[in-house]
Amino acid sequence: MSKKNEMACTEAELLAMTRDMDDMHRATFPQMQEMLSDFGSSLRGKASRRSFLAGSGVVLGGVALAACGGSDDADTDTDVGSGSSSASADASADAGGGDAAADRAGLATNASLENLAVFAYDSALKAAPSGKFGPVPPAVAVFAKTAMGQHAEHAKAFNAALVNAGGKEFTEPDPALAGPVTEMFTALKDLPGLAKLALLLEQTATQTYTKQMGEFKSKEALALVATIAPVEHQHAATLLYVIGEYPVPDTFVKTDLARPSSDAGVS
Amino acid sequence: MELRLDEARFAELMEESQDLHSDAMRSCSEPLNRIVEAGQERRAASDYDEQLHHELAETRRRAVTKSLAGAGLAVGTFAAFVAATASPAFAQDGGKDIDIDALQTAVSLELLAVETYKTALTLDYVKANKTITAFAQTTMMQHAEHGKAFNAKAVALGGKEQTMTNPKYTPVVTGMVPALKKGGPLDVVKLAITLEDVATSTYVKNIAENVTDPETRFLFGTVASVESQHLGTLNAVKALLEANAPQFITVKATGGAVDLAKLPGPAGAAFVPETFKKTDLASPPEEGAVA
Repeated sequence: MSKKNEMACTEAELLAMTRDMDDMHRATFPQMQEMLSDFGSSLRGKASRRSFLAGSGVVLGGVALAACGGSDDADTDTDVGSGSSSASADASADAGGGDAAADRAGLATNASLENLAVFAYDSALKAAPSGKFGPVPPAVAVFAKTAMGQHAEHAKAFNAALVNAGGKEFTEPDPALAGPVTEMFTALKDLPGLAKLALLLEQTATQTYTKQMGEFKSKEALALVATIAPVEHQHAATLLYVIGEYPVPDTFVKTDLARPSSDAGVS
Repeated sequence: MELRLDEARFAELMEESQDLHSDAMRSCSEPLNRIVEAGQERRAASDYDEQLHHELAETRRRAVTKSLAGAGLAVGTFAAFVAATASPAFAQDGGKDIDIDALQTAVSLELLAVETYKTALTLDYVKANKTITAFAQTTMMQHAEHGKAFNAKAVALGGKEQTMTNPKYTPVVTGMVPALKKGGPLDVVKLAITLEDVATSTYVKNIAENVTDPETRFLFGTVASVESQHLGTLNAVKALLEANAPQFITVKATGGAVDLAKLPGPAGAAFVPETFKKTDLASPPEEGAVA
């Protein structure tokens, strides 16, 4: 078999494989939607006045914008400004409401991270034809489209959870990261740089969701981060492979890049 | 049939994979720091009774840390720190049993994975591929660390260490060994895919539905996504083998970065076949519990 023919065969077989994977993609989202259909009852039942306080315009400060490394405090929303003491006291007095508000804040932040990832992949796909990154191999383009689609589904899932819990959809990119990421994207000049930026976003998402597994209270919110974090980590593995690195470098997921649940500014 | 651990061979393989594994081992400090902080934060916000337990846990943590330092282990193992930061208060409540069961079942899956990769590393066609060999060695080591961490947590919650491989899947793996010896890389990759999927699915379901202790959920979370990367990598390897394109199974450390320009387009999606991790293959918490 000539090399050309061998590659043609490879393409055909891999295309068939991709069709199978597309079917799997379509099959998994309805399952998640079904799971979410009952979402919200546990959170609604725990609504407290703290959620109204926190949702009444308390603007969070102290979020590091200069770097993508996250603050290591999921309860930052109780620690800022002069109103922090009362908010914290409310949380203590009404643990159920505090839990619900914390879960909603985390879900909003997660939607914002997914929106940011969609924005980044979409921007990359739109900029690629101009030659901004040099030649973009087909496999990289396929990955970018696949990852973008999956992040869009993840954002829908997190937002569905928010709406069912009595909140509002969060449709903007993470407010704390959007600026730095845009600057980093603008400065990109080649494909490895793009892959590394995407890797940073994937690691941030995985680590945020993993950290929340020890913090979220509702089973529904836990189910979301549990089923999504592994997929983000597979995106990261792909990107590591793309830049030539070993795809499973860590024995345990780190959390140094995890974003605080307060990132989206929602409670 | 029980698969027994060949400790001498295991130690030899550990040495061989040291370079590739060094980064992974360094990463252990992050989750252990997180667990230390989680325990401290939670107890700091709780009532007097939990404060008392916190003090006891801190005393135990300091004792273990001192012991490790005395033994010359500046960083220590993830498992030791998991034990040191366990919450005694939690071990007294009703969620203990299912959490311990889930941890012991997880250990049984990790031990079976270690045995399976160890067996794979004896196969000539695995030894012939530098990248697949490195993957098997590194993955085996990572599963061993996961097993230690789960066992440490089970013991800290009042349970026993699990030392046996998973009772459901061990006979399956053992029964496949003769066929693996006669087969090729694709056969062992498919087996590994199944085991990695079972582990990932089990831990995801434990986080979502079964485990009650937040620190235990977090531990499952730090491991589940790593298993998912094993699974994704194996899916990609399987796709490339099935497409008769093994030349793309390579990384810098084992023969050079992949030639992206020649990599077939669909391979870009091979790592991520699911948008949400399904849990159809999840083992129930009691499947590998110690009687």
